[in-house]
Amino acid sequence: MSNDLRESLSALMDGEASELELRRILKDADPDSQAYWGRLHKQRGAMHGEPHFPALDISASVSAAIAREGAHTAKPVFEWRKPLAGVAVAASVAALVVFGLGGNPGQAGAPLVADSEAPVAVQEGGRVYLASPQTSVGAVTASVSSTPGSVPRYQHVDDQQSRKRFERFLQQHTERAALNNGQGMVTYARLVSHEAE
Amino acid sequence: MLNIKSAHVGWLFLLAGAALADQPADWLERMSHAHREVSYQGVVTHQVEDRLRSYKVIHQVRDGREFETLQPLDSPDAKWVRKGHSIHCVHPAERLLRGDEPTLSKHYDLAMGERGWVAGREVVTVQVAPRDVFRLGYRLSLDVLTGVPLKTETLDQQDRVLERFQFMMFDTAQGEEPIDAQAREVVHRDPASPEDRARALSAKPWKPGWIPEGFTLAEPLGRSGEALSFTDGISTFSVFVEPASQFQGTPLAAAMRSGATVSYTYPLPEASFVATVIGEVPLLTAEQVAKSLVVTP
Repeated sequence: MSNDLRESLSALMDGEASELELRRILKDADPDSQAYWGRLHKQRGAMHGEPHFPALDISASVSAAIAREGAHTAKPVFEWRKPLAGVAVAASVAALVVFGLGGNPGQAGAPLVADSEAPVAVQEGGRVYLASPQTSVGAVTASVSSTPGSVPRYQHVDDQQSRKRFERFLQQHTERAALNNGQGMVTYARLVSHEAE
Repeated sequence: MLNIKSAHVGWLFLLAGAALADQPADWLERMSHAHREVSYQGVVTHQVEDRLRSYKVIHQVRDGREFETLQPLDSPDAKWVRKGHSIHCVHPAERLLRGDEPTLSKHYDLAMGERGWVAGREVVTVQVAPRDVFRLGYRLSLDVLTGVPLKTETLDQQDRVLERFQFMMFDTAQGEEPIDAQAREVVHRDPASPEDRARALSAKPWKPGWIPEGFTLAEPLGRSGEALSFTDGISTFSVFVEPASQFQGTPLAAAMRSGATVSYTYPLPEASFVATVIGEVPLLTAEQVAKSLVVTP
């Protein structure tokens, strides 16, 4: 495997690769690089205290997701390996992400994370790492289980109405957070920083 | 309803604490007093990714009341001011940190980090690591002399820094007069007892069916009365409910993020309301709380 490819895989792991790069990597990926990817993923996972899912062939599911996505090619790739999947922080403004009601699979802007068939409940060192987004009310305990890859279907949107609501709620929330987070007035920097963009 | 402690006791606590505190919980308790009771001023930065903004902050305590100013230094924007908040008014989160209801260590692993220096002052670092998936982590660097947090990093579940507050300059000398005619008086009503909280919740036509363990009601009354805030002692989230008719078009489930703050908006199925949860919590928490909302007609 070439060093270029090795670097690209590394960037991909860090969520820094572009979609074009992602396609190239997946196209060029040979068994050797697949193995490297697996090791890399395992290492990073261990570093960040993430659980390791040996059975999960990420490259295959991403390929499938891209294939399904068809014509939607111009968008930058989301930082899809992160648990927030798609809710990446934009450099200057809050990124707004909307997904279809009920997770309709036909929704435009299909996910770059394919639904994983590997539900795993993980408990390591007293911490629970994953939880199901479909929580039955009141039923959440320390032994929640989960599906790491099953991230809702996100779609980038940025409309004025949602942004305004976010700012209004942020302001009201911050007034209370400032009384309850041990930081006091400094907390308001969140508000000013946001508005200043 | 409120815990009354004299300012003198507070100061004695601070002085004694400087010599005695070496457990993380002791330091957090000191912090809960210090940021309210110590007069200080300085320049603080707020960093989110590659975005850095600085502010001049003044916090003065006069006759047991807080006067605060936060002035953006990178923009001509108006400063934020607050006045008249009694330091004897103990907030729900402070109650959780001050050991009357010691729940923080049930939900976070607390540990002392290394000593270091921030803004030319010696600090101790307290690591606050979540024990479950429903809250964020914190690295708090507290001024050894006063207990005021000089650097606060908010971490996601993978220990990546989401935002950082850090003083560049900090001193405790009595400085500028912060009192401002424009200052808004701090008004809030916190439910002190479990009974108060239950009453406040039952008075609402809606409430979350689920919140993460360890969170308690912080504020039942928004300015317009439509929100509930919850805190676990260090993290806070707020729940808002709006009529769906306020939306242009069909409201969609949506997630937003700015720094450590996320919001999750969820149109309640078969109800003409839209719930939004916003706070310094993982998106998972915001989503689950929003989806758990129960509306009683």
